[in-house]
Amino acid sequence: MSILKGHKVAIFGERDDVAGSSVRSCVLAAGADVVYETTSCFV
Amino acid sequence: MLVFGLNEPGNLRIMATTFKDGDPGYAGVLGGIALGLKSYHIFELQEEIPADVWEREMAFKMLEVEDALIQQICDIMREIRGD
Repeated sequence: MSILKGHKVAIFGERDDVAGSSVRSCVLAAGADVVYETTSCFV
Repeated sequence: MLVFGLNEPGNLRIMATTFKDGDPGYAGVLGGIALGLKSYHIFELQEEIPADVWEREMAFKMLEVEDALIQQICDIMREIRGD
């Protein structure tokens, strides 16, 4: 059973690790519904 | 659910714990408020992502991260979800 397909997802990316935009592309391709996305810098 | 892209274990643990059980430091508005949301790191979800998209968006980023850190991240996320 898919973890992502059909689920609403909030994304928290990191500027120096994996950006939110990359995570968004991945989860959208897996069939998730992105409801929030941000890319922060925790340094 | 939440999907994280940050790789620092301490920050990851605090954020995932906060969205599941509430802010452990009782410092923010989610102190004592358990939302019960499941969190995943994008590194755990490779099998869910079409291979071409993973290759384009993630393959290079995974090469930049030590295997031990990827394992640590996956262990933390599983522990917090209670898998």
